Parts: sequence; C-alpha cells; structure tokens
Amino acid sequence: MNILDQAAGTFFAEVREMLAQMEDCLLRLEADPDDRDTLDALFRSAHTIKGSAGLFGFDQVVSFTHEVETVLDQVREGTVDLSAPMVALLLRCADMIGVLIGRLESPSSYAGEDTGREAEALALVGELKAARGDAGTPAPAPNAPVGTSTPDAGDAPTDPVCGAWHVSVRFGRDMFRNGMDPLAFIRYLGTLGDIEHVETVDDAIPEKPDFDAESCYLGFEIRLATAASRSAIEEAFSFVRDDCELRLVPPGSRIDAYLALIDQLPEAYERLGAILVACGAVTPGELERALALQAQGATQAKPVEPIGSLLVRETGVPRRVVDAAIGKQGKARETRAEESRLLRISSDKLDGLINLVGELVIAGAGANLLAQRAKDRPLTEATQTVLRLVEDIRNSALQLRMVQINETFTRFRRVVHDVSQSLGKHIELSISGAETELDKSVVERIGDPLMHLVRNALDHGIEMPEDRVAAGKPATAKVSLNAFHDSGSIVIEVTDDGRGLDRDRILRKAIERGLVEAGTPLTDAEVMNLVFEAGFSTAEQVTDLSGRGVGMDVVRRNIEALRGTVSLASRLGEGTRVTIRLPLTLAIIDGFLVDVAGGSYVLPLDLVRECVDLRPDCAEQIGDAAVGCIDLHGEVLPVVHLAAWFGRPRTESRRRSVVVVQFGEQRAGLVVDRLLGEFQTVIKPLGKLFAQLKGIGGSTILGSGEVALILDVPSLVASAARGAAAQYAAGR
Amino acid sequence: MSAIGLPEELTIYNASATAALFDARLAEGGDLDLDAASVVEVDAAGIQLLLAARRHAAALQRGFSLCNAPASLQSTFALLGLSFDAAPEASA
Amino acid sequence: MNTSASSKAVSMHRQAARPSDQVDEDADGLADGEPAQFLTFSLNGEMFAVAISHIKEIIEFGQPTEVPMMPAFIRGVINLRGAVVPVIDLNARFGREASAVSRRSCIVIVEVPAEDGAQDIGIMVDAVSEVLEIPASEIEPAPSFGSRIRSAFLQGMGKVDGRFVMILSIGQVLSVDELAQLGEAANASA
Repeated sequence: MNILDQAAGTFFAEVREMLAQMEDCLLRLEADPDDRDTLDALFRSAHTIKGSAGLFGFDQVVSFTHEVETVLDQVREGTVDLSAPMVALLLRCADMIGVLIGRLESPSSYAGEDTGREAEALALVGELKAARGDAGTPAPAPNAPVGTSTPDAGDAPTDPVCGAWHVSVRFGRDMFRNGMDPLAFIRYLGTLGDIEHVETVDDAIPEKPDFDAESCYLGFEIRLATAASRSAIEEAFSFVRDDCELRLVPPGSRIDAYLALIDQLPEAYERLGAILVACGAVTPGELERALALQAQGATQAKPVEPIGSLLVRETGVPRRVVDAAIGKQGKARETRAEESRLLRISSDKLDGLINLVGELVIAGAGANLLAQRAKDRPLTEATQTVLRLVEDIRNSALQLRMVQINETFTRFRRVVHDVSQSLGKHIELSISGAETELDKSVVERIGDPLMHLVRNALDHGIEMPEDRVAAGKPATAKVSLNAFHDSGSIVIEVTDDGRGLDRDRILRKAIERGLVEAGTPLTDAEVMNLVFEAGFSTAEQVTDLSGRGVGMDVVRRNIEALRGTVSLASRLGEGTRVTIRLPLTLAIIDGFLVDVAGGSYVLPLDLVRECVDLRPDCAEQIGDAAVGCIDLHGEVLPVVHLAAWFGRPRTESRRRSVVVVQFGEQRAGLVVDRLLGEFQTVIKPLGKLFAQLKGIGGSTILGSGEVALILDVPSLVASAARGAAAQYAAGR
Repeated sequence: MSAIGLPEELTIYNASATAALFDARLAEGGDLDLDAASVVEVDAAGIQLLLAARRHAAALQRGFSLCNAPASLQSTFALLGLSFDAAPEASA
Repeated sequence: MNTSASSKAVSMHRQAARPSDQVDEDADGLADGEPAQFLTFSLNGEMFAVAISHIKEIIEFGQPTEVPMMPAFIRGVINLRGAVVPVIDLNARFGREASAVSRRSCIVIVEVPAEDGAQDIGIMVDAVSEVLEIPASEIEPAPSFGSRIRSAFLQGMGKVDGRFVMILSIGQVLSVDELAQLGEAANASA
C-alpha cells in the first residue's frame, strides 16, 4: 500500500468526524442561529473536508463541498438566512458528502448506485444555488452593506473596471523553507475561477552576495475572474497566512481602491501602476489621471490599518467578516493546540497491551501464591509489592480503554431531530452524564440497543402534539438520555414523558400469547418486564421505524450479552423509563472466590454486600429447592442455592454461607459452600459455545492454574426470578 | 562557452546548488546561456532562480538566454506572465 | 504412542505437509491430489481419524473445570497456557455414553474455523494411535446410513490396513453454531 493509500484511511476517518461535527453544529444552529462560534466551526469543518479531499484529488467531493461552503460563507456574511428548511437542506448535503466519501472508501458496495447518486448530488447543488439566490455571480461590492467609512462613496464614478478580483500577494522569506510553493497556490487559485493575468513581482530579489536561493522574494499580482467569495479566495492562502501578505480588491472597485493598494505595496508607484495596467485592473487613462491627482495631493491615501496579516481594504467590507477572520485565526490555533494533546492509537495495540497486563495479573497472583506456600515472609512481601504495582498498571491500562458515552449519545440528536420531523411530533432531547466513561467495547455495542429504545420512545411512546395538549401536557415532549456510575456499574436511562405503558394491556397480551398464566400474581415491575419477552408487541400497527415485536427481546439479549441487565418502569399517561445496567469493563474485575460443590466460582466484588452463615432453620426452609427465601436482619431475602441451581449433587449438609449481593435495587442471596476470599481476576471470555449460558459471565485462571467460572450475578438472579415466576405460573 | 544544461528538477531542493553553478559561470566571466531541455519539474524556487539569474547577469552586463524550454515549463512561464525569450526587459 | 510423542509427530507431519502457505485446501484440509496426513485415535473401541491440518496439539487429560447447565458432551473447560479452552466429549457428542477416563485418555486441541476467527476446542479421546498418510484414493465417501455415526459428521471412510477408519469432518462435528444452539436448548430447559 503506498503512502497515499495509508493516508487515505486517516482521511476517511477524519472526514467522518468532520461530518459528525457539521451535523452537531447544524442542529445547534437551528436552535440558536446567531451562534457565531458554531457557525464558524461549521464553516471550518466544511472547509477542512474540501481541502483534504483536494489533496487526494477527490474532485467530486471537492466540488460538491465547495457549493456547500459557498452557501455557508454567505450565511456568515449575512446574505443567506439559516432557516429551518436551510438547515434541513444542509443536513442532507452533509449526508451526501458522507455518501460520496463512502463510495470512495469502498467502491464495490456502491456499485450500480452511481447514476442515482449523481442525480441526487446535482439536485442538492441546484437547491443550494437556488437558496443562494444567484447563479454564481460575484458579490457586487457597491451593494454590500457598508461597514467601513468610504470617503469617496459619493463621488462620481470613473470608468468602472470589469468584474474580476485583484489578488495581490507578497510571500514571506521563509515560504520555501516551510515547505510551501507559491506556484501551487496560484494553481489552486486557478481552480476557483479563471486567471486572467498574472504579473510576477521579483523586485525584492537582492543583488548577488545577498541572494539566498532558498529564500522567497517573490510576489504576484493576479487578476482572477471567479464566483467565489472573498473568504474563499482568502482561504486559499490559509496555510500560509502567516507567511505572506495578501490583499484583495473586489470586482467593480474603483480606481481609489487600487491607489490604496499601491500605497501599501513596497514597490515603487510607477512600477505598480504599470503592473496594474498590465493586469487589466486599471486603464492607462485612469492611472494617468489618478497619478496626476496624487501628485497634486488631492487624493488622500486612506489610513492603513493592517489587521493581522490579512489586510482588507475596500469599501463595504462588513466589519463582521474581518472580525470573523481574526476570530477564526485565534480559534484555529486553539483547536490545533488541543488536538496535538490527543493521540490516535490502533485499538489492536491497546487490546494487546491489556491482554499482557491481564497475564501479568495472573502471573503475579501465581507468584504470590507460591511465596505464601513456601512460607517465605520476605518473598511474600516482595510479591505483594509486585501485585500492588500490577494493580496500579491494570487500573491505568483499563483507563485507556475508557471512552465517554458522549459519542454515542450525541448521535441521537440527529435521530430525534429527523424522526420527530417526519412524524410531525415536537420532541426535545436532553442528555445528561455524557461525560460518563465506559469501556470502549461496551460503547461500541450499546449503540444499537439504545437506538432501538429511543426509537420506541419516539414512535410509540410520544403522542402527537394535539393529543398531548388535550391531555394537559406541554406540546413538546421530552426524551432524555442519562448516564451515571453506580456501585461498579454504569447505568443508562432512557426516559420519555409520553403515554406510558398500560399495565393491564400488557398483562392481557402476555396471557394471550401464552407467556403467563391468567391469574398469576405478578408485581407491576414483573408485568412491565414482560415487554421484553420474545414475540411481544403492543403496537397496534407495525410502523417501519421500530418494526415488529422482535424489538425488545433482542434489545435485552444484546444487553445481557454485555453482562448487563435492562428493566422498564412506566406510569400510564405519564411516561416510561428504561434502565440499562452494564459492567464498567469487560476485561478485569475484582473478584470474590467461593466454592460451590467442589467447583470454584468468582463473584464480582462490587456486588457483594455481606456474607452471613446459613442458619439451619433457613436451610430447612429452602429445602431441596434451588430458590427460596430467608430472613436477613428481619427482612426477606430471596436466595439462590447455587449447588442446586447448577444441578450439582447435594453434598451432606454442613455450614454453608450466604453471599448477599446487590445490583441496582435488586438484592439477593447466593448460597455457597465455602468462602475463599477476595482476589483480582482477569476475565477470559468463554466463547461462543457458552454464549447463551445464563449466570456464567466468563472464566478466569486462578493462581493455582485452575480454571474458575465467573458468575454473571444479575443474569443469574434474573433467570432465577424468571424460573420462579414460571414455577408460579405453572401453578406449582 | 557552452550552454549550461539545467537539471531535471529545477526546485527548492537543488536551488542553492544550481545558483552556485550560475555564480561559477559568471565568476569565470561567461554568459548565462541556459538550456532547459532536461527540465521535468519546476517550482517557484526554480522560477525565482531563473529570474535572479537574469537580473544578476544583467547587473554584470553579461548575456542571459534560455532555450529549449519544454512545453510544461513554457506553460508555467505563461501562467506566471513570464517570458524568457527576447532580450531581458529593463527591470526596475 | 504417548502424548508428547504424538504431539511432536503431529507437528512434524504438519510442517512437512505444508511447504508453503499456498497449498490449495478444501474445507477439511485435504489438498487436492496429495495424500493427506491424519491422526488416528480410538473412541469406545472404534478408530477415528482427523486431518492433522486442524490439530494444534495433544495434551494429557487433566480434569476440566465443569461448566454447569451445559449439555453432557461439554466436559468443561481447561487452562491451556493462559487460554480457556472448552473440552468436548466426542462419545457424548455422538449420542453415546460419556467417555470413561483412563490412563491413556488425551485431549486433542483442534482449531475450528468460525465466523469471527478460529476457535480452539479440545476433544477428549480414549487413546491416540498414530499419524499416518491416507492417499485420496484410499478414501471412500461416507455411507449415507449404516455407520453408527451421523454421516454428516463424516468426511469419508479411510482404508487402513484392511480396516475402515472413520474420518471426521471437524467443521461439522465441532460446528460452533450447532454446539452453541445445543447449549442454548439445554439452558432453556434449565
């Protein structure tokens, strides 16, 4: 793979980031059109995409993005409004850029779509142009809003000159050394329009001894006929903004503008006059007249106020544009500084590192165990120290994998925006806890289930505005995404203030579908969770947004595959909340080792609240069953007798222990044979073979080399509860 | 004296070396007659070098000429509004 | 053959049989036209064979950690140099009684292709016999019925020393999808 291909990979990734930013900006601007910062960020994103695409010669992307950029530019200048239809159009354009990029990335998957897409792209460009209100004529200077004082605004116009920009540039000495080639910039200008004339100004080339072939003494006076805006032309030189002096004179400018230009340029008056005439910027006659006037001192040279390195002098340049340019410079520098503090790492390398750390944890535990057995005190202490350090490395390594859930959450802004529009509902999305971090592998896999839950809320949960108002609710519905840490887990809530779920209707449907026996006593929570059973759907018609009732059970399965749990709470008429609980990491946990019928099992330490002895009377209460209840400190505690649950032969009765676990609001007890203590453990996934195993979430290797199984406590308890419910339902 | 054959690359990368070549010829008392037949790549530093060479030759009252410019080089000259054909223009 | 010797024999044969990575193999590791190498082993008194291209190593039988609520043919999992590998009892897999553990019991570690990369699985066998070549001409297709093993599991019948050796189709016997489904079914009834 040549260098360009490698770079292209990064390019595609970065363009997608830019597009996500563009979308984000557009949605924000819809709410607050006056947000200059966001508007500038939006423009920057589009501009960066265009520039990068240009480097790779992706001409179609360049020209399409150019159209978008032109409109954005006009929005910045205030000549085009950022109305809701405009935002929608720009969102569609951003999508189209994504499609164009996708086609470049994997041509095979888009084969055959070509003509359709081309037409679509052209149609969008047409809409953009229509929205701009022009067919590409340059912004006429006399009509632009007046921002600066123009002493000769009222003068009788002399011969108007033709409509082309005059670009005057003097490159800095270090241009070549900084790796820049003025020739490339001029060629690039050529892509913006027609270069009518170029005058190379080599006046600054010094005499022989002082001439350094590697310094740049060149300047150029260029006449460019283009529909591009001032900013577009300026942006062409953005890479070398600090390395050159750029002055632009818009089309339709009068002679005074050129005289002002001449004032600022270092070369001699006559020389510059000759250059301008050669460029066609001024006619010889005008020049003579002007020079004559100048000699008489009648024309006052306008005071020069260089602003940064971009000196923009012309009647009617809006102050805003200038300020924006300066602001832009500042921000661009800030962003660059911030970005250089982040690093792109291949996730394979990170996973490799985490694996090694995992092996280190196990090896350390093994060494420690040997030291203890050898009853060598100094050695034991030494290995303890090693273990402590390894634990620190482990924690740091795991932190590397932690990613904010923000990325996942912000995707939903667009979804809510589009869906609520297409359904005709008013829906506001609020996000909190976006900075909550979780393991990157979890983040990757939680997106789809979350999407389904959100769409459910949008489609089925939220009522039409009229219905809401009739029910005394505000017309705008609220959907919220909330994330936070809670005792070693991450909790994600999807809440809506829609119509809520009808408990009785759910129960009826469940009975209809044979999921539950009529007359079974079930708590509200248990009824709600029936929604997650396969084949269940209370939507009267199938909409194409959420599909059939295959939804919720798939959601639950996906979440349980992540060793998480999901539950639902709702109040009819008020709203619904779905709560997802996930482990913080899929790699390493602090564990509590227990023995059940001769097998070693590990419980996540975070879930363990306390351990108590199993009193004989309680043991009798449970009897032979796998599930039962005991009295813990005066409260009822449901317990699972693990040996029985696992179908192990019952050993003779002896003092057993109950490990009390808690996750979320759920408390339960696990009856085990022996307690073996705390220790760190690396999770080794069991593989696809065991994917459907409820209650076992992985395995680990103990210091002795033995394999121990890790209990997936929430899943275990949930299936015990279901088993129990099924038992009750079956009338036992 | 024979013409100086310009290198394939007339760019920043060999600008100093090529300039030294010109200096040496001028120091020997010769004219700068440049043959551009081999030039394949040119950048602004290369163009600047030619402009400087022309000026420096004129300052020492030596001759300067450029011949056999390939089509691509000629079009670059045209883009920049430059001509190395006739006698050097009187520069400022 | 004891375990380490047969393991060594397997790796020697594998290296010999694969001069380059370009060998054109079909799904069960048989290069066209070349005599393929097989490991033969016994299971409940019958001889079976597996193409050695699937075999990673052979280890002595150590008591696997049992995994509850799984079908009987999954004996458990073992620690193979830091990786947790499931162990399948082939007898049970073929619907017969679980294997008895004897002095010669071994676990043959096999690499099974799966959707998302290969998975290592250990199969428990009564005893390993030897590594031998069976030329393609000596391999007959599995009978559609009559053999005591499901014909889908068999790649063919190899003629060795006048007897027939059942050549297992590892992809089918250890199909991760099928095994997982069986596991799911077992779980659902738990």
